Amino acid sequence: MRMHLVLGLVGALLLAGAGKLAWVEYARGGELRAQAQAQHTASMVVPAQRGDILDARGRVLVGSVRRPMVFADPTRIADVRYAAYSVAPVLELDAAALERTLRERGDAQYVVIKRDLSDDMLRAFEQVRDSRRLWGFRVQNESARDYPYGGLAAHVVGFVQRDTSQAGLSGIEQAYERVLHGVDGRRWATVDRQRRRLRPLTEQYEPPLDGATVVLTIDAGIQQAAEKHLREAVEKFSVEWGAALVMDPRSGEVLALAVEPGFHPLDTIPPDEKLKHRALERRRNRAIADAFEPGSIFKPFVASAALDAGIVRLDEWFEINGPRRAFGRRTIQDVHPYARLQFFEVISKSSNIGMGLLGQRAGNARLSEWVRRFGFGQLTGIGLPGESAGLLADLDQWTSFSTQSIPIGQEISVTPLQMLTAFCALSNDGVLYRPRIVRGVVRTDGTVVEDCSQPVAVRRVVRAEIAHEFRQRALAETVRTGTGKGAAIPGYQVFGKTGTAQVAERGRGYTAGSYVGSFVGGAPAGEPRVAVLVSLYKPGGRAYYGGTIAAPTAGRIIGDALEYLGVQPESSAEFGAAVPR
Amino acid sequence: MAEAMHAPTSSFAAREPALSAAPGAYDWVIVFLVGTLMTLGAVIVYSASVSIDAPAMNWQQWWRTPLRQGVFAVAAFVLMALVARTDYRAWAWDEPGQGWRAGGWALLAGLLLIIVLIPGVGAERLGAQRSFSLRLGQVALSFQPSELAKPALILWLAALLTRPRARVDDVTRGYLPALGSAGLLIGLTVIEDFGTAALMGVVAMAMLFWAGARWLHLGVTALVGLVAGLALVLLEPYRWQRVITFFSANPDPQREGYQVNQALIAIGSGGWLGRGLGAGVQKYDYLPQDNNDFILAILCEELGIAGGLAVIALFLLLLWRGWLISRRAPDAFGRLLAGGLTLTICLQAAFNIGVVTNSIPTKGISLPFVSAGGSGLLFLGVAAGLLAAVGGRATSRDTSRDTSRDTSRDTSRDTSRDTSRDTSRDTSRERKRAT
Repeated sequence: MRMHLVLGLVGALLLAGAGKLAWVEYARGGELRAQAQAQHTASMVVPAQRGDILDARGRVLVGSVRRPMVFADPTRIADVRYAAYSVAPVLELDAAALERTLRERGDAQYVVIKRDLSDDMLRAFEQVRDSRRLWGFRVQNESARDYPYGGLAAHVVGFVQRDTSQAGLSGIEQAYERVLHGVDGRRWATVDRQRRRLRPLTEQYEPPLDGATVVLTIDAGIQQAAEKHLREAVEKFSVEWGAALVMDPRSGEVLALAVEPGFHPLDTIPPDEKLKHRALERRRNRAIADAFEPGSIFKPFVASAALDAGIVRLDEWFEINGPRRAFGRRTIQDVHPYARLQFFEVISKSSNIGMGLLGQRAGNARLSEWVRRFGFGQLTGIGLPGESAGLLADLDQWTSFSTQSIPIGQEISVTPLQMLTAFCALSNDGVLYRPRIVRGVVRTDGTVVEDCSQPVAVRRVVRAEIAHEFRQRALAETVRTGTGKGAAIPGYQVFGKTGTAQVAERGRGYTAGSYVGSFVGGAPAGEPRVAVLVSLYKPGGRAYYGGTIAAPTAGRIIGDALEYLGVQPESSAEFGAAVPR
Repeated sequence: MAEAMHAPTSSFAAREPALSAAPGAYDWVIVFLVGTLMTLGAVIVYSASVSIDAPAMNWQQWWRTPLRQGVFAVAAFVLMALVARTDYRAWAWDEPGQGWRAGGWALLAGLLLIIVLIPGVGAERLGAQRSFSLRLGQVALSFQPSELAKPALILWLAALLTRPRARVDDVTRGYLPALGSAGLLIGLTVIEDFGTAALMGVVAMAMLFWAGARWLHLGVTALVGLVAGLALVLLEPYRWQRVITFFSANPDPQREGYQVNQALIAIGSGGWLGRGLGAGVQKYDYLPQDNNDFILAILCEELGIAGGLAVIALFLLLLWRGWLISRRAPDAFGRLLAGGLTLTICLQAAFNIGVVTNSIPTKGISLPFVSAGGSGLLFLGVAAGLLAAVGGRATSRDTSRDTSRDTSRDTSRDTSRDTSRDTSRDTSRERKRAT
């Protein structure tokens, strides 16, 4: 009896246990299954392949490659010192620093050790890891930016953050980040408590949508020429920095945009404050971000607008009586003394006094309207990050000085891009086009996301015949006989305007010996195919005139571009006869 | 084993009414049930011990791999089979002066429990349990004296309470010596393993109860035992914490309620039929003690509630069989021994199931034969072997009714039964001679 009692009780306990087991499943099964799924499942990002950046002819300026990367899971490294000193030599790292890193991040499971391994380095590393059984180090392929043209047009394409995010930090990479990045996919896996993958949950896979391809208006051939000639000029004239822009005046497409000294998108930014500052300066796209007083290259806009308004004729005589002339309290100087000049000569010989007289005749209100008509003081809307609108005071803040300053390119700051964009209107039929650097965006499957290959006309700035006449008689004359002779090239009639501006620095006014030498021009004069601007900021040598340092550089770029584009040389008769002497 | 399974002498179902125990006869049902549980344990522990870091098998270091349980299960099974073929009466106290046979084991267990306390000898594990570490070459074995204390206590109490002229209803001559010696062993065990000690206490009380102790004595003892147990719970903060956790309405599932919550998730998420053997996820560091005290939760996750119920059914079968063996044992010693062993195994299983299903507070008690364990499994094999050995001597009829008096209470009430005691004793002795 007594044994029945006790053992029966135990039996009852066991049955109760069985009942509880069934009850747990019956009453809470669903809830517990949900809890289990929540804690067992983790999602991981499947990065989308970043889109390429192509030039106008489909050449890959920026692509993506899979590069091996080594990361460490310090929780799986038993002897940190041994591990660090084993792999550091083959990875070309400092062993002591690596050991420190591994110790500091001892409880992390993902510490990037070395990116972008070469094939040889990878082989050496894997050999060391396998022979010494260092399973705490692992290799992963990660997507990295690749530059088949060696960082060509770096300021245009920009650079990306060098980690798995690949986030664009400047240029097209930044402006088109969303398009290039695509949509990351997601996959789910059953994981252990340390979130390590046990097995994939394939039924929930969300595939990534790869980034789209951005096609630029930049032409690698012209870009290479622009960069080459600009680099030579920057070195030869010890220039602080230089910018060269090439545009198609018929459409506003930017064919080349070069800034020197430049950078390679894969350069690392040094941590040292001073070096870092310099590195970041080199990365700035000065062609769109830096505004400065243009000087004489600004004269064509006031001059052509005055012709369009009918207040002056090209063959009208101006009494210069140089080299000095007083306008109220202000004295304007010419470089060379002239007694009297026809108006086209005021341009070709770059007479400040002549332009001052024109300013007097036009008055501030008209000057202000003309300058704004050409787009100055406003963003061009090229769509690159960091664009500057330059500096142009409102009319009510203009003074009597402005009347002579504006016509000779003072009291106004413009960016190289604004300058050349406006000049394109004089190089076509007088229509201002919005500058464009992206032709379109295309998905990898061929669907077009965005088509911006059509020219966007902003407004007509001068009548077509005014643009033709001004180009052929004043601007071509500048290259033929005036200040821009250095830009002349055989076979084509180059037209353009030189400029040498004193650098006005904030708070200090014009600084002695600080100049910007520029040339803006194009060719062929009859039916221009390219418009070019070269600006060289603060030349260090004795030569600083735009006509001396910038014009020859521009001429070389124009020559290479026309040859590259296959533009037939004009007959000598054509451009000899077009302009009356 | 196959031949034994067909031997009619080993079965209760034997038609022959004679006490025809052949030498080496044992109860094959017990061996079969325990073998099944061990096999299941080896498989589930193998599954629960996998790690995404370590290889599943390394023959040079098998004792560190999931296969360790399988090796120990085979050893424990062999040990069980060997012990099952011995004569359990070798440990009986049939004549004066034979008390050392069973007492020796209890003494050894007590000594080891004391030695393990000496600093530097015993290794502390999980803060609570102390064990010996034995190195055989490269293989490290650990052994907890409390594992030996469990069967030794049962053996000793069974012998002591059925010794010649034992009077359990007499305080000084019967009850107190038994209680005192058991209390000493349990007291030594409580130092290293509270759960095992509590189990031993319940089993000792039950054996005293079966042997005919008075209700009054047992009641007083139970009261003292409860107070002592409560004091021990209150003295150790972690034990008190477990009780608080169990009774609190909403234990934090990330902290003190973590383990039990994870066990419930394992049980519930498996569903009725389980995720499939090896397909569980909770074993990947979610559920602590997954291959040990909480192996049943992993089993339920992989084999479903059905698997869990099957395990409980196996223990119920074991209970039934042990009960039957006890009732049909040829002598009082065998009856008490079989009852004690059955109770220990099945009560421990019930405790474990209660913990895993969050029915009683967390306590370090493993599931017999199934949970991972090295030396513990071997001792369980010995215990099961003894039970099977008693079963091998079973009569075909229920002996509990006519022999219950030889150890139980009111011998004075019915003197006529006294003679029956003597006869049963005589017959058992004759049988011994016959073998």
